[in-house]
Amino acid sequence: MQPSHNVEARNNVTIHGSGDKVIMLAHGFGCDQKMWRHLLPYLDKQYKVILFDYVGCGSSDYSAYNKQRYSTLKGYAQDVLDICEELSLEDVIFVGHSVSSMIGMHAAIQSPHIFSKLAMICPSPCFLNFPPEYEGGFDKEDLEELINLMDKNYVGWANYLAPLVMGQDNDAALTQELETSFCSTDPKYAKPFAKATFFADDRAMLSKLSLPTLIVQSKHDNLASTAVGEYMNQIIPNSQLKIVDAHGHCLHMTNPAIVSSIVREFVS
Amino acid sequence: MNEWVGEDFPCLLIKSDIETTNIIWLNPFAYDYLGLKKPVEAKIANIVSKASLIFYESYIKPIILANGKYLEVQITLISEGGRRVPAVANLTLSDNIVYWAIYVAKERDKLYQELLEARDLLEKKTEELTAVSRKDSLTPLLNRRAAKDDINVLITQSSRAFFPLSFLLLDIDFFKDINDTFGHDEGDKVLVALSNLLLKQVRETDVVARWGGEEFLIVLYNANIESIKSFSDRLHNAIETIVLPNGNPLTVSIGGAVLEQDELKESDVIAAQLLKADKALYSAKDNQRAHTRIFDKEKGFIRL
Repeated sequence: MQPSHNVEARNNVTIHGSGDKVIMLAHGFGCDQKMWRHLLPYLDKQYKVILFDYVGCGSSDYSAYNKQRYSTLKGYAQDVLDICEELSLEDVIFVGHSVSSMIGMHAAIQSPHIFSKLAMICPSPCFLNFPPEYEGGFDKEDLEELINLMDKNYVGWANYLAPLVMGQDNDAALTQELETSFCSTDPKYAKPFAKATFFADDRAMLSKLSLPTLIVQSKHDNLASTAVGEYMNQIIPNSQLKIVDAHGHCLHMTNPAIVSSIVREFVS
Repeated sequence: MNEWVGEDFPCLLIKSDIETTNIIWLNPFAYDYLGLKKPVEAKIANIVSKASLIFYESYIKPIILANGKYLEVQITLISEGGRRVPAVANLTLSDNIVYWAIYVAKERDKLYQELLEARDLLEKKTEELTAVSRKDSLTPLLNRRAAKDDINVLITQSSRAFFPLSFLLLDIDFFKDINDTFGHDEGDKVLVALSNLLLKQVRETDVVARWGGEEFLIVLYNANIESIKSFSDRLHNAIETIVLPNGNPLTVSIGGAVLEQDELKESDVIAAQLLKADKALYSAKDNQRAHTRIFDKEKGFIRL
């Protein structure tokens, strides 16, 4: 009765490797599941690894996009829960990059029975500064400029404007863009994700997270400082913090060997 | 200084380390423009805005790691004296060194800003026009075309993962008499009052439209005969609260049909369901009105 490809197709779910334990890797803002291709070879021999694209990213079904749903992180968390339900997953070890750490937290607090552990790569519960007690790293103006920059860096202008004028479907044009790049800045989908990501303040939720949680922070990260990692580690009841002596916000791409060994240790 | 001789290009050329983002080389123009002193100890974070930095981490870096280059990306430079300047960069990656060729693009930025504003206006207008084109001219309900669009979306969803859809055609009893006796203005008031009431009775996932003069279409999401019964009982009761100028309550007749899974294959699903609902409606009209009848393949008309 219920065609099983429904949510799987919507979120472009791909399943790799095999093993008793299930690891779900969730991409962050900007790109799609291809972000994990560097880390995947370290994990898929031992575990069943689930990859997916959030609706509005990568090769997801853009016709399933709902502006309201995907204007907050809760909507993205529902994607995670939908996939777990569709695949009847249990004891999922959820690994999220950047904003997906917070999306995973939303999902885990809503349905704790689905997950066994939560690993966060370069997370931040809040990118905004709230002086003096919290320094997320950015002011509101910075983030507004980001939205503007995303607009100006959208290469598919003609593709975007034509359907607006002609009332056509722009999925075909979008697919074409995605073939050349795995990061899409199509304002229709990327801007709401940017707003949901960078204007979120989920600090108050951290104390409600009861799962064993691993925080992996990069020593020199322009987006999420080690102070943010320490802040989270203090508040999440059952957490541990690992700081990797590396640069940048994409540890899973730049330092997959270290990240995978930390994750594997945490899993077992 | 010798290395600078003969180099006077009006663009910024920069080499940075992909890992540490340390700036390891600049051309003279870049030195001057950014107001940097030798030896340079700056990182990319020191010469671009914070928003550009997020963009670098979220898009530029993943893309150059994957593709080796990223062309024509707009960023904001922080130039000498802290001025923010729009600029366009071409980046390539080779041996862990990022090569930046940047030109200042104030004019191009103005043009893009105008384009953005025009787009936003166009988006707003499109939204407004779409909303207008979907509404019935008298009532707050959807018009026929918009209803068909929305129902087709439900039908597509139902064909992916089946759930029943119920089609209800609702017709005001003795509407011609209302118009003839109390005038068309009063008739219009009744149509509007009933429409507002219908909107209150349905869920957000249901479709409700003015289908013709005094005829309305309601498509109930995920509803079978039992749910139609409780819905229509509630509806008939609520409609009686609309009182005509002569003190009589308003009544309606409703004909319904439930979309079965095998009927999803029909060439025009909506027309087929409406035909059944219409038959049920006429059966209700022929039998004292003011109630609901459902067309059932096996049992014929079922009075709810």
